[in-house]
Amino acid sequence: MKFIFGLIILFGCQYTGSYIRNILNIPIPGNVIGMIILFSLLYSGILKEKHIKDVSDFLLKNLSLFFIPASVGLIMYVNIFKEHGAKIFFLTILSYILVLVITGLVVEFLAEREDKIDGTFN
Amino acid sequence: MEHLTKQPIFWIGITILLYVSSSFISNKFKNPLCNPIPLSGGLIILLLLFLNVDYQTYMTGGKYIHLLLGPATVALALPLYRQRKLLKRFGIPIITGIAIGSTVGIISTYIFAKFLKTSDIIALSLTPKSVTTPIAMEVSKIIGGIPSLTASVVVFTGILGAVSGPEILKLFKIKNPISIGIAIGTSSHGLGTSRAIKEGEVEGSMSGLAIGVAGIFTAVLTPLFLKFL
Repeated sequence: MKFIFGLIILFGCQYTGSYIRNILNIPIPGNVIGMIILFSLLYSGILKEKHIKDVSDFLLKNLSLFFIPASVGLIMYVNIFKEHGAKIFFLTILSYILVLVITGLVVEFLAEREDKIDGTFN
Repeated sequence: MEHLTKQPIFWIGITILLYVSSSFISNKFKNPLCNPIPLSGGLIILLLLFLNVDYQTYMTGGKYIHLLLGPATVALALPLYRQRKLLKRFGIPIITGIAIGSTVGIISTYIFAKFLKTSDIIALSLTPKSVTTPIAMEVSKIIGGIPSLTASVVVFTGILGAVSGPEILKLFKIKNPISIGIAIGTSSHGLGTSRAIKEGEVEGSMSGLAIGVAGIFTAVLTPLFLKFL
């Protein structure tokens, strides 16, 4: 019962997010806005962690599962990949590594500097 | 066989079955290449090609699993809420890191694409590849790319993050869970986050945060940068 109730809250946040997205006409997806809504509800104390804990932990534990149908969608681009695949793969991998490593180094550097004050980072 | 492959429940069953078995393999071998997403996704693609079934037919069942991606993304607010103290404490390093990372993503992709002499339309389609699918597709549409091609490269980038994110960061001696989470979420959105969660709650929550923030930066910055590139 608590599980269903939690799921309704999560869907509720998502649909409210989609609704806001549609009226404001912004390129931010409903589920990201929904995430902000849920965070605000928790932060302001309107919702308690226990209301959504079971369902959230279940969904996040199986997050990989929910990405499988979208990944199978790669099947529709077999032809584009046959033609331009090598270039696309190469530049995607290169750019991915750059973003990953530079972001990591920047956060690590800035957070460590911040942390010299009281030392909770490491 | 034909009437079986027309049943949505058949594809729901296959997806869950492959997910459960590939998660088992992935836990057993601890090899990042055994990630359940490419493993199950790849096997389903092979099965569809073998049975000559198209993606639309698969999605008559797949859409029910895909439907839960929405609430699962919303649920990322919970680990973030649990880590709210870290968020306050390290707000500036986190936001700065995501802003720089997003910028690197946009500019590097566009410049590499030009350098490799891909057509304009492919270069534009690839530019928003680092962020979550709905934002990437919208940006692609705005700047004149092909949204569906963008979506497929987004998935590919995400799989890279899920398979190699923590390992590559380790090579560069990036050890802190905050840096690891932010780097994975910024470079490879939700798919990367599905892996970050397995590394720990701080990694998972920070990666989840970066999905949204990197998405917003990319949505705002991409059209802006393209004016100057």
